[in-house]
Amino acid sequence: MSAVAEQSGGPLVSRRRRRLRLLRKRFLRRPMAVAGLLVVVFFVVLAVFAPWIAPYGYGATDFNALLAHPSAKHLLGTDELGRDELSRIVWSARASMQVGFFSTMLAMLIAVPIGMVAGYYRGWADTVVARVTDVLLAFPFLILAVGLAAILGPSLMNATLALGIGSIPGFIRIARGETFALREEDYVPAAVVNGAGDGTIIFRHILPNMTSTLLVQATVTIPQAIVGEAVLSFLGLGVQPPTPSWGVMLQDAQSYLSQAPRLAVYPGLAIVLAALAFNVLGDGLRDILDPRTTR
Amino acid sequence: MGGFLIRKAGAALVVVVAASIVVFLGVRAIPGDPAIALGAENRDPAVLAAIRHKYMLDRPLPVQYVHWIWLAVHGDLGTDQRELPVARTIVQRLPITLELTFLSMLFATLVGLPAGVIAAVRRGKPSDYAATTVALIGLSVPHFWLGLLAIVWFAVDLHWLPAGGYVTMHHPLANLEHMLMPAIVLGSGFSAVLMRQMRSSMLTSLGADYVRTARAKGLSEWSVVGRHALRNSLITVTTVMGLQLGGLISGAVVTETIFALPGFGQLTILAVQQRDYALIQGVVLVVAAGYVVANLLVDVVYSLLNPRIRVT
Repeated sequence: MSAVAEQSGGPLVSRRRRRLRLLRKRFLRRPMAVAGLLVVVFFVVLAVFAPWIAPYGYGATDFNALLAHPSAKHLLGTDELGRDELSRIVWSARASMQVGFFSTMLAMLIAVPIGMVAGYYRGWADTVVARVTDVLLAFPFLILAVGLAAILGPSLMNATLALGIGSIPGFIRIARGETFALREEDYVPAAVVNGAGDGTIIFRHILPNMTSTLLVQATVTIPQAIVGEAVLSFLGLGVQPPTPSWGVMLQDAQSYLSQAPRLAVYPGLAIVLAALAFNVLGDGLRDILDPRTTR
Repeated sequence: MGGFLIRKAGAALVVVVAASIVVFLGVRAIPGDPAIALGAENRDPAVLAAIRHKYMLDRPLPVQYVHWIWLAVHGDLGTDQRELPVARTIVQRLPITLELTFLSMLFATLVGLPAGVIAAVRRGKPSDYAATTVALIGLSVPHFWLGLLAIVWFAVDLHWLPAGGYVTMHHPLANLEHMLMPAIVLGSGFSAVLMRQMRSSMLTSLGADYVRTARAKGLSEWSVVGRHALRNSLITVTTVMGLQLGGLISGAVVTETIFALPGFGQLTILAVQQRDYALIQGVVLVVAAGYVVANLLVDVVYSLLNPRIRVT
């Protein structure tokens, strides 16, 4: 630790910085996790800059090249309407990343405060929350999402909502369990002695200490939502054409399995790669954040 | 043990009742007037009123709910859009899904458990890396895509297996032929989860004191791994199997749709796509109830395997 940081930041900030530096060092020592992060960044870049990266628009048709094989003009070939497969895969990253990130954020925003209040106050609030979570968990994730999609109607926005609501029980359980454990830590009575109210304790003391657990849960939830979106769209209950999505592309490909099996391969590879990247990143984060693996 | 069972069963019952209310209200929240859907093209107010009266849509929600649940308890889930009894359709389609789930669990257990044990025993060796990597990929591959690939390779290209459809168990071989691909596709993700769990709990067991004692007693490696470490690892794995049930049900929905298996999962999607309210209501209620009961069974099995749980 350099003397400059010690002076400017004070002991608390320098400790936090030291921990961050340690975490970064541990993270960089895991090639798989780094690769996962790079692929995640790659997909986010694809999603954000799709108009500049994709060679063609997602709806641009080339009627001279229907179901065309890969060529210099169309690197991954074209679909039944002569649309460039590569461009559509790039554009589809938008739907996947949007659903992945926003549904997870939605679930966190709703579930974390509920779970923390339940875990902090216990008593009847906790009982109610635990029962409601049990009821939500009585529906398998996809069944819940399919049901919600039926209620809300099929669209990208509603798929995000449905998958987000489906992820709420998991986050509630984690936030509740963590709060349960963290409120027994010494710094909670210390804060009480210092005159901190419940809100301060929950948000200033407990929440920051569970961010790593929430982060790991998020890296599990995002790929689940990405795959969920693909499934919903594949079943016609998610993103609707002409908006491109990997699930929509696979649904189209299903009719051409014998003529153009590659149409069923590429979008799936994109899903696997994206989901795998998040899972690997999550594994890596869990390893470096879990105190039991600290060396 | 008796008290524990009763408490667990009571909690499960409460959850099922609450879930039925959620299903009931959820179906009522679907936009559109069910009377118009049932009356097809007929918009005559008198006809619509008659339909509403027949299906009790003109009564208050609590009355409708009690009526529905009363009939449901007696095995009557109403009739769908084609006037067929929902309960009978479900009972007809359920065996297909149960067979599919059973076969895929069988596949997952036969592949996942040995792979996990081998990976743990040979930790850090190439076979461990191979198994771990395959499992990680298996976790990220969505069922429906794996299903599409399997159809392309084994049905379209190689003509080894039928691309889809179902044959009743009266023709066991043909039945198995049609079930093989769906079962493996559905079981693949599950086997990956089992493998990972088995590996990590075996690693924990292998590091435990009683394993060292067993080794010190001069027991053979086979007996140390098989009799001592494996038995304790299986306890954790049972819980994971329970947690995976939901994934298996969700997977069955997708797998049946892809392989054109006329099972319960396909029925679910059909009901939602056709906006068949009575059918959606019945199907989702059965899923939720079945899922809760299955979880209850897992809890019971778990408590039998691990007596410490019962006390807490």
